[in-house]
Amino acid sequence: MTRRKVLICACPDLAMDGRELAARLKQAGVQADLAPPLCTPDGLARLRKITAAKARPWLVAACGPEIHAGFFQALAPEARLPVVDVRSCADLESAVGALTLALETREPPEIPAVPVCREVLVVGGGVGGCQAALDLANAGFKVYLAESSLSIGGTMAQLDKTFPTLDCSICILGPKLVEVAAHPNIELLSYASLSRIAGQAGSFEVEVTIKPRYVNMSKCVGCATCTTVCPVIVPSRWNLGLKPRKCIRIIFAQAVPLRATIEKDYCIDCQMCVQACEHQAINLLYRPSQRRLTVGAIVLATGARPFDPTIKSEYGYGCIPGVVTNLEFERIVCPTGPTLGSLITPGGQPVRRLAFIQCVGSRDRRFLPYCSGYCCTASIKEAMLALEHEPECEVTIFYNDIRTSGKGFEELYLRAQAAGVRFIKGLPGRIQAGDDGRPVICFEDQERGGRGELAVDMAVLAVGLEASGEPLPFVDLAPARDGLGFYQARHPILHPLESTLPGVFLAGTCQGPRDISETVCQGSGAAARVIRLLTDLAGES
Amino acid sequence: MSKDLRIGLYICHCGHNIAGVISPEALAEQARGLPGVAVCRDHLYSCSEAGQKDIAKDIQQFGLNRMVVAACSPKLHEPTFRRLLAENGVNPYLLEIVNIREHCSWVHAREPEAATVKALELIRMGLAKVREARPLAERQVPLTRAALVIGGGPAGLRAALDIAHAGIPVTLVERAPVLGGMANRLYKTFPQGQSIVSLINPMMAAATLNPGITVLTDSSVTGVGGHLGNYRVKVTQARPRVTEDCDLCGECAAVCPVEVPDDREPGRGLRAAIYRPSPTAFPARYVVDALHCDRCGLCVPACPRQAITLTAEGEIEHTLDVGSIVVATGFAPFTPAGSRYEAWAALPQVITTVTLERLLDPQGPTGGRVLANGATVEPQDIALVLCVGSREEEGNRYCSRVCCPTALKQALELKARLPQARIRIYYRDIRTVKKEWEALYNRAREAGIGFMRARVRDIRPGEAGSLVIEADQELGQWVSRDRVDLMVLAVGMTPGDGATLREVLKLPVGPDGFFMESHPKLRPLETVLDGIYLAGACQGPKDLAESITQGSGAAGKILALMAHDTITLDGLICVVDPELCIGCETCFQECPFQAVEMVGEGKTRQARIIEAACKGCGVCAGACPSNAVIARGFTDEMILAQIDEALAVNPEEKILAFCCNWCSYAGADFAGVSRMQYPPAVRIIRTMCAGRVHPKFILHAFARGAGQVLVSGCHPPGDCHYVSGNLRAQARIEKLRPKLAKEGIDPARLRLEWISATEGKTFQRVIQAMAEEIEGKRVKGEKGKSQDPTSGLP
Repeated sequence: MTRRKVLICACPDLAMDGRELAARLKQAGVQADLAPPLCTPDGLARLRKITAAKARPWLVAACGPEIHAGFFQALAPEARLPVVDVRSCADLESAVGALTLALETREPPEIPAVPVCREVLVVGGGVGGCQAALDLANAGFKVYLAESSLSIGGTMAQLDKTFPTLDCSICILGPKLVEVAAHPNIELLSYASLSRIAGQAGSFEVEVTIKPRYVNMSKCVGCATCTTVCPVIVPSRWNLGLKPRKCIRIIFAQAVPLRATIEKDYCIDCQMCVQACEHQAINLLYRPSQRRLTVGAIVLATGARPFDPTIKSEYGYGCIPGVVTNLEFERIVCPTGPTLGSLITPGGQPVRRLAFIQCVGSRDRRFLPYCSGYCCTASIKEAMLALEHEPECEVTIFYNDIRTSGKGFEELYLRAQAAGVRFIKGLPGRIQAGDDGRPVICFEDQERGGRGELAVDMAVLAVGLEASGEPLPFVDLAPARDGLGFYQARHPILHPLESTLPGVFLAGTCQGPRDISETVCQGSGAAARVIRLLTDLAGES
Repeated sequence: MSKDLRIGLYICHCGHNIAGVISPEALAEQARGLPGVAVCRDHLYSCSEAGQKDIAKDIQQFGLNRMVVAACSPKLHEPTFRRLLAENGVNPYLLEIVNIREHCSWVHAREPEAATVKALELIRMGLAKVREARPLAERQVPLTRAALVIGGGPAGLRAALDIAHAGIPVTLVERAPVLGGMANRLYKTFPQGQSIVSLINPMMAAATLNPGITVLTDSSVTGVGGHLGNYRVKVTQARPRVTEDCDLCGECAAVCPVEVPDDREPGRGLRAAIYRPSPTAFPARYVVDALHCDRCGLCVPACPRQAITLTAEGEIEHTLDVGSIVVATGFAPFTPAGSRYEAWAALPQVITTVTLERLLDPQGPTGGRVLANGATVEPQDIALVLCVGSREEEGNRYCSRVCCPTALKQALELKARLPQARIRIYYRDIRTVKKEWEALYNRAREAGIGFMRARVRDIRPGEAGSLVIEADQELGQWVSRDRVDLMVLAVGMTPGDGATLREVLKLPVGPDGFFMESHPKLRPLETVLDGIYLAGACQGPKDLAESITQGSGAAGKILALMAHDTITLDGLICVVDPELCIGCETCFQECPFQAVEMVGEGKTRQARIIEAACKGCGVCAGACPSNAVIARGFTDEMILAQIDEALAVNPEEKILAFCCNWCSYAGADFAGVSRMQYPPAVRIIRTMCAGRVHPKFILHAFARGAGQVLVSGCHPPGDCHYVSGNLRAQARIEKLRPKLAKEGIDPARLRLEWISATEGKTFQRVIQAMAEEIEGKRVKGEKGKSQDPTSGLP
């Protein structure tokens, strides 16, 4: 049956005048009525009135599913009419086009229902991914948690303390990681990369490549005997190159899974670890293995990465030894870090004068045109940590705006001011090396006026977060990303946890910078949305 | 009993971690003959598969019925060994982990001999405790598969929809006559500038239509009892005077003779006593304003559908049984009345962002024209002032997060409506912390909106109905005077009176008045009460997307809970021995979780613990004057036996430390992980909470000759995992001090310290200081001896 009548929802967000749309359709010989917004009581009454009639040649011109929140599905079955999304049409012509096309199209054939798989893949084992995995697993869903690194934990595992409570990061995260590993419904695929994603919501086919650790996962007990005998020393990337490690190593003391791994690129095949291992866990002949998974939904929690300040060359990062990033600073003050928690410069000198420079990369049209949100509060926290280590230390924060907007953040800012941290409004123009090699910060104080130079022992660059570059191997359509590489939400307010691809959900910084608690909320939220989708699909099929 | 004891004792090398300092073989040799030990072995790694297989074999071969593992912190592998016992048919609570790594080998690395002596004593303590252990049952509590959502704003709607979608019935309680919450008063959202109707209305409509959601408007939650899985909730609803038959024809309002100022739209004029609260919100129905209705009855016959009954009086009480609750009570905008802004707000040219939002709405009181308080011409000079009611020195110290983007959105909208108008924003910091919000800031600057980093000092009426704003400019530090036609105060968010619900729910709120989450980072949706979750701005200022995310997040928590028929709770709870209870109500008053109830009357009145509500902190047991409360897993017998073993040899040289499981024990672990060295004089007894430490333990320790006693817990007020157990411990210790002095015990030998899980350094410092005290006393004692030649004589 073709339809001849159109009920237009007078949504206030239509890009065109609804009356004009109705007029155009009438010119084309189609009966077109303009109804009050259908999701208001008046509109709903109108909709019910027309669907009460037996003959229902009506088509509804309204919004797409990303807006209507299941409203049209919530109507009684006899009140359901085909809905054409005109709200996302940019102008009158495209709306007329969409409606004309829909009027001419016969009812689409029923899409054959695919069997719905109740298993879920979570990509990324940071705190957001772990939370999503745990909530889904607790709700009875089988979860595969794919992590590209050797351990789950993400960036949070590298932090010394969290703001605003200055909790020890790994102490609070560690138990959650152990919970993930021990959960009977979670299968942890660490050191894994995705090689292919195909299919659709309800039934995705995913191929996972597990990189070889050259260590038998069930035999290794994490005793680290192998690392003591290994003669090859390389820089620890996990400690951002600030600390040496062995070629065979456990990535960090609280790693999950707690297993050794050989980095084959550096291995000299001396076999010393093989002989030292009492559990015969090491085998240098391991090869990558493949897993094929069928999952009903995918949660992307792939995170973001810190901006590399080398390209912002005026700050001398990489040239002046006393210039470090905020993540490097976290490692330096962390008891498990390269200095075992002593606040010293990479050159081994005590830090008596310390400065933080905000907005490095962020709010900068050359690099990241947005605010990364976390860095102000993080620097204030780090300033407080510095004072804990060195109460006599002079700490200055150079800022543009102090953006401590989050629960308890402003209070931390006030505490820092009371503790004597100096705040100077004005981002430094550059950092140069002084005669003694120390960083000298050239700045302009916008509040008090005047230029100045400040020689410090350490300058910490509060770098922003940028999207991690690698696209995921979606065979067909991939979830859309914005111009900066962050995943786009299906709708920024109503569907902040759905990607543009049905069945693929988002949690954490992969869709833009955010802090830990927001990421955790998103993990839980994404779990709820996955359950909702899979319940829906199972109901349909 | 002791004849039946067959304890397996396992000593772990942990590679070199323990064996590098202490000889496990020597320890095993010494411990083998201790009472009750049926088998004793040392393993390179007890937690490894090989070690576990070995132990499993022993359990079968020797018929072990208790186990002690001397290894790392119980925080790491207690679950592993509990599972091992359970798999081999032994109750998992007949296990004691002795921490000889974090608390011994790692912290006494330079004193291997003293560390070995200490390790053996720790093992003896563990054996003493496990001998007293009793099998405990994990509790299976039935679960009511229904949920309650309090608050019908965006967060509550999303939570209700997501829960109901999974087939779990939801009751959605809203205080106002319509759903939608504060969103009803907005016009457009930031940063995309979508109309709020097209965002919130589909959710409202879907919730109203969903057969799984019962919407109770005009209702408030007035009582909550029960616990996780089984809450009983009392909801009081104003009796509706207009039934669902109302078809919105409006005849009733047309005949109503009453005229009252319209509280929906300040400045819009008058409305009748029977009126429609919102043209767009659900449920769509006329309501009677009981306060102003004079019961004239004209509307009753006027209604063509006989939907009006003015005789409906009083309230309806609903009793709901639900398994879980979402609190989504939202916020209230800061009101200038009663604050330092009161005089400003009284000026006709001054409005708040909330009012401006209504003025911008074409459906609003002025038809979308920016005419404040009866003005006839639209303003040409407009100033928006940020941080009104936020970031105050006195008052709300917090940042309300959304006022910056709201003001930017409104400034852009004003600029679009009034292209000739000069618009400036007085700000302190522009806080556009989201990717899209910063773009809004950029757009505002490009649109020619002025930004002044300044603090408004004063405003006063100027010429021709204008205002003069006097402000301290922070950049360059000068005082500006600025003439405007309209001033908009960007008001922040406050908890509103939604937080009065805290009395009913017994939920803690933070110093800012917003509900407290369980942990700001990792448990942002949970509260201290299991099964009660937070969503949206009732937990702290947030925008729509964040609120909706939390709505889904809270739903996720509930769906995980409701995926099971029962809830499993561990066996570590308290019970009252009816033989010993004297009905004094001490435990009833001390319990931080209302888990104690008093049953019976008069002489038979006794305390009883509601098992499902008990969290096992033992605060009640630490207070009971008649030894009637049994804190399972940490009984008096266990702790006294540990004290006796700890102080069996040279007690005067020892520090007996009671450390709470969550903070101080973890702090001691952290000192170990960080290899912070301290004197080996300390013997730690773990309790779940510092509030478990009964004064009799301390007296017993001193009676046994302990040199020093330490009680340590989480930092007050907020760190305690049992709300206020730390404060109860503090009160008890303060009360005990004079008693100690009376008995001739120097009260300085008893210390109370707050040590968090990360304060390994504090733990080290405290132990060092206490050991110095002991050392000082010993030296003084020796000196005394040598100086007084008669002291050695009888």
